[in-house]
Amino acid sequence: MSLLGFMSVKLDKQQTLLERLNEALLMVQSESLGRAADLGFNAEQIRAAKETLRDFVSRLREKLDKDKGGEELSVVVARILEGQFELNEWLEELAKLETQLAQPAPLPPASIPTLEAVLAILDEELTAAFNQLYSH
Amino acid sequence: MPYYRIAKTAELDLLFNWLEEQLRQLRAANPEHAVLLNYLDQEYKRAEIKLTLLETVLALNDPNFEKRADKLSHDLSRYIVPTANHYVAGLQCQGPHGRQVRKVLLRLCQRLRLDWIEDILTCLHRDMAVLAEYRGLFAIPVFFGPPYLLETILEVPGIYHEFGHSVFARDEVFRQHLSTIVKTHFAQLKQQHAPISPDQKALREKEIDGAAASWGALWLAEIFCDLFASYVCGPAYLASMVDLGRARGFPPYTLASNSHPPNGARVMVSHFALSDQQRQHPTVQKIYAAWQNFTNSFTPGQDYRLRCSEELLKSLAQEVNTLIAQHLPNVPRYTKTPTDLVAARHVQAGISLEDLINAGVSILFEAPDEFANWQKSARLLIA
Repeated sequence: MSLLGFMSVKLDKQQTLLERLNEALLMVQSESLGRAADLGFNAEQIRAAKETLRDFVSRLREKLDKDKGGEELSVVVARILEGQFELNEWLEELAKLETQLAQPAPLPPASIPTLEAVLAILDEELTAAFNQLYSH
Repeated sequence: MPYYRIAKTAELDLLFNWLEEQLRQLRAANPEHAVLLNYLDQEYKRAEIKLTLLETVLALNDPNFEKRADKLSHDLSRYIVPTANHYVAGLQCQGPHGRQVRKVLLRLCQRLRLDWIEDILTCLHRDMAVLAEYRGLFAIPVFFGPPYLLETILEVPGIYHEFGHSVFARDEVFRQHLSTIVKTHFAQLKQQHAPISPDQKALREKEIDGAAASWGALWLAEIFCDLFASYVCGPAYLASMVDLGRARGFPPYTLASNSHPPNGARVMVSHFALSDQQRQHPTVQKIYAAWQNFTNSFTPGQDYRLRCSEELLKSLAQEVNTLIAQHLPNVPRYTKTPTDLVAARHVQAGISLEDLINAGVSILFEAPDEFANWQKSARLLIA
């Protein structure tokens, strides 16, 4: 009865989430930089990508603000709370992002780093867990 | 020039070609695993599309997309590792014995109505574990176990614990409910104390918070799996837990690892999970007495008593029994009491694995001298 079972499930859930978000961010960023067509993305895919990111940002904001929602965001929340920015700054930034992602207009390039910062936390946590399970 | 990125992508491209060829060969060599290979092919195709996207992003040669390219590359590497390490390697080394165990496990899942499991890959070279989820899929778990698994009676119930991981991981409702029970228990504990000074109160609350924190997702998963196994295979799982707790002589109230609650708590919940009728059965009382005889020489410390109080363990057991009945009504509860000796001695072909291991436990605890001979003939009934 090993740790492998639990860890692999945890890893898979994080990986599935992160892959979805990484791909969505690529689509949204390509639109912001006017290169969506170069990467073969159409308007419907970009709309869906914005919705994926908006939903994630909304859940993260809810978790940060009211500690509501599932376990999957607990790690991001803990890292955000340990960071140098105040909770209020994060909440404001995420609220702004949520509004921008709900618009049909391209996401302003200046907003990309906030999304990148959040995804970087997920990526670091996943990599650490992945190395724990598969390190050589 | 992004030399590393281009080189890494070229290597990923080679790995994808290797993987495609392996999947093709494995399909030819493992016709019984067509379902599993269909899922692997489906995921391969998805990942291949991502690899093409990565190549397109790199061809843009736009520094704005460097981070995105790195993330795509990470995603692809993390796709290849479990696919190759567990599925490709597992299919390559699954021999006739592994295939026999696979059939036993598939029938077990069918009986337990774990209908989402469509195929199982077995790897018999290590301690028991299940990789319950692969790329969001619960249909094709990998089961690990020792090569002698079916030669035992006391280890077999661990299989049910492992499939409990699939149940727990698939539906968040179990973790949520158990987490609520734990939070409520420790919150109530904070309210129950004689008048104490503010310093003593602060210290006590810190201890309670520490105890509550040990019940994270890991412990909840493991305790759920113990309770699930007790639900579906009854007294045999209690016997298996008593064996697990006694066999290596590890102190029952000490943490054997950070991943599992102490054995004392695990045996206790497995006992609480049984029905009153099962608990009152003389064989079950004998099994539990074997545990108590062992634990009598140890004293639970304050830390254990706070973390794993009888009251909390009883609440968790009751909650899991209720939750399984509510959320998985087709999963059959093992309600039988241990088989009487006459029936246990005469187990016959067609018996379910649950009945067989419960009969084995009866022989083991009621007629241990007969166990070796019984096991030899009973082993042939596991098909």
